[in-house]
Amino acid sequence: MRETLMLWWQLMRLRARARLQNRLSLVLAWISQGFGYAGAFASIWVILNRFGGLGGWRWPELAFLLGFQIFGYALGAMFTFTQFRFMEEQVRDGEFDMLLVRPVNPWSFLVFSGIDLQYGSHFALGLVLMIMAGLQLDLDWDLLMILRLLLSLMSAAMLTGAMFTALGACAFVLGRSRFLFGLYFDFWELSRYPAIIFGLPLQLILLTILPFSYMGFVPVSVLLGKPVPILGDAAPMLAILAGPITALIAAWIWRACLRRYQGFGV
Amino acid sequence: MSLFALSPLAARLTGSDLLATLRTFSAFTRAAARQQAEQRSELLAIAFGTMVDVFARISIWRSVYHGRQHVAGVTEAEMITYALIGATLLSHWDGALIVREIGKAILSGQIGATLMRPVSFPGALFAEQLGPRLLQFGFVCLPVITILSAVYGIAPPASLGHGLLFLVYIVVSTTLLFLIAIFFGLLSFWVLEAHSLEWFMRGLTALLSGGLVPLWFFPPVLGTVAHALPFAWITYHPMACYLGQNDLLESATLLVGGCGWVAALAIVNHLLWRSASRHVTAHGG
Amino acid sequence: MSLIIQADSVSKIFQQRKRLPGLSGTLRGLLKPETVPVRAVEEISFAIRAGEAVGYLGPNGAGKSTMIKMLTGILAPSTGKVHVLGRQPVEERVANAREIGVVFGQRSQLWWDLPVSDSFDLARHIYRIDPARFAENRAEMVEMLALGSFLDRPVRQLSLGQRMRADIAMALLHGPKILFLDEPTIGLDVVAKDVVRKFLARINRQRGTTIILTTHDLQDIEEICPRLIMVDDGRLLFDGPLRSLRRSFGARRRLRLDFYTDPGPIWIGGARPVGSSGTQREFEVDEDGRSLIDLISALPPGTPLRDASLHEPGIEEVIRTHYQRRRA
Repeated sequence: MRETLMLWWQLMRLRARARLQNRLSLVLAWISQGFGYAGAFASIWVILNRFGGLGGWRWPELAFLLGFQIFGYALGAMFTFTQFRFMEEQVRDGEFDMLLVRPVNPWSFLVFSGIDLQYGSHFALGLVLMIMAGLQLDLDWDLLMILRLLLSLMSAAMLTGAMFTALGACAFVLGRSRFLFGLYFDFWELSRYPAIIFGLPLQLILLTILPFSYMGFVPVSVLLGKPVPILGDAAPMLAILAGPITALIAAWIWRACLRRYQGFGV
Repeated sequence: MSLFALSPLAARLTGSDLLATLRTFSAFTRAAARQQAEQRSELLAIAFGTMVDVFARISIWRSVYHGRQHVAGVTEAEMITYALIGATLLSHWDGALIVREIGKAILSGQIGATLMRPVSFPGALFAEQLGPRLLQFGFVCLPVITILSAVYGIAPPASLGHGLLFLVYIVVSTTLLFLIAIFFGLLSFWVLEAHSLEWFMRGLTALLSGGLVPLWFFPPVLGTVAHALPFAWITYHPMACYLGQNDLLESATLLVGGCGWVAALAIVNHLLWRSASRHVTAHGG
Repeated sequence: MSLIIQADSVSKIFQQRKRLPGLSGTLRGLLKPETVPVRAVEEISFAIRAGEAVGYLGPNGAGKSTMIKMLTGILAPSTGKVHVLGRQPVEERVANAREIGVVFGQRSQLWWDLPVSDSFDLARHIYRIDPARFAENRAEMVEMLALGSFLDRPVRQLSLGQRMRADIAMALLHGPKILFLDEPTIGLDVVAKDVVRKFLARINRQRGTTIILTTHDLQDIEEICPRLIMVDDGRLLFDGPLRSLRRSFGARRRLRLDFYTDPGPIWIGGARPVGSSGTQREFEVDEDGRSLIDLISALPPGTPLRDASLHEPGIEEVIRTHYQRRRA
């Protein structure tokens, strides 16, 4: 166990060192991505500024949702996005095979050797939005509340990583997976909004087979004391458990797809 | 000597040369379109994703209007039309791909090789992207518009004149999107990496094109500035024309303004490209 | 010596998805994909003893890489059994991986942006090598492969030959019992190829590391591997010492006769005429142990012979002839 942890630490250290060789490029990536997201968020602000609210959410509440969503996403994506988006290429070019000939768990190796430092502005933007909104919202920030926030952020991060893992695993079976990531982001953008503005069928989908609502809407509703349709009283629990549950499902999918790959090839 | 002779670009594009160039362009376009057509599952995924995107926008407008008749002189039905057409025909396509392509070519030094081809690199890129774009018009945008408008309804153009002008606006919108993307891509030759420029472009377009939110909902100062910038011709001005926000004369005048931006950006891009090429020839990349 | 690798009637069949033409075909393909079986490896059996060096040879698409993938735990055989060090590689992938080293010529294990030594340090953690043993092994590799001059340079600055040397060193740092190499000399220049070949031969003899290598380049096999396994179209063609390949393939020697004047038609028993031009005649001679003298004596007396020579076919030629015959 100790050796495994050492290996993970070494992998992260090496990746960080490789990335830090060009610090300027990293800082510029931070700034530009922050700018890109700020543009998208500004559009949403314009709507709320003009109409006063969206689905019963005022701007500070929605700002908190945006901050939470981007922070939780970045926390999961920094360990998973880049590597699993390139699974298609890695499988095709045989780079993935190189992981299988080493005495390592290929998933952990991918995750820790591919840790991505590019999410600096996601974290900054997320924090600023959550803090500013949190101050305006006059919430009761006691220890329990903070613990809840941290746990639901972890859950959102796990959910993100789980979904990327499952999408990447498709490359083992289909030989392709890249196009699924495009689809992912179309749905992911839905998690910026309070899900109540969507029709009931889509709300249900976003709570079950495509659980994007747990990346923002459900946990933030719980934190802000807003009612969560459909889930009701189960919402506080699910806001924290959604991540671990999807992670288990994703692990199962990953294993099944990998076994199929080893058994049948692509 | 005609006026054409003043510009070396125009001089190259006369008579049979023009035909030959067009033929090369259309060959690029067709090849790229064919390539994408072969990956149908990809096209299907794009269509489905677009559907989700448009649906989200419609949901937003339905939610915020909620019983209100007009906001800033615009009705809910008009906003649904704005979402349907604006998110498909006018801003659906991801110009970031072009920025990435140019960045890659610059980084790999391939840009030097492109100098040997008879077609200028930005021109070839334009043609290459036009194929998939047209394909997506037909197989993504139109089906999505048809399906969702059957559910939520769609407003016709304000008048026949507005409708005809709108068709020209689509051409201007597509061309401008190309030119802006190429502009950012070429910038990566001097400043930043393509990856960063791509995100800057994304942020600017997301807000200033009126892609999600039309400029008439903007706070006054921001709205005024955004009206004049070229981004506004990607989604906002074409949709304003379609919905008849301005009379025909004003719409036509604005269209001329858009053409002005096209010309200005084309010249700037041409100069940037020439200077980049010279740089490559002189320093070997 | 004990058997270290065993393949018992191993087959690998891939299911390749059939692409159906047209839109309806694509839709059908999505709903109910049709597949065609592709037999990459068919009923191959062999056994390798500890300390052997074996060349695995065959044209592109012959199933070489697929076999290596089955031996290293990447793919499971469709039928038949593979045993490496007594284990089934896919079932006990991690345990197997600890005791083997793998070098794929086209893919580096080294970290592109970081110095070679960082990648070596990582190998220590991956294989959980005891620090003292690691230091010893590393020093030995650095010395034998002359890595010293570029250990601290980022990998992206290395030449292909330097990178391959570093890759081979990395695969040996944990002292594996078996070293698998897939095209280890591909793309290298003559000098670099020579260094790699000499090193592999030495590591095989001195350390007793079992070596299995696939290659296109016969010289790799001539210099490193006393034993050759040849495959084609997924099937085993030949397994044995390199020198008996000629006999087993029925390769013929070539007799060339030069005359002072055109001798007219010439007949020699057990030799087939294959070419004539002016005063020159060429024959293919059956592999029956006759010497050049025997053959010349068989000529009719008084033939104006000026010169005669008998050529042994090169391995390369033997194999080329074989593949050409197959295609015909």
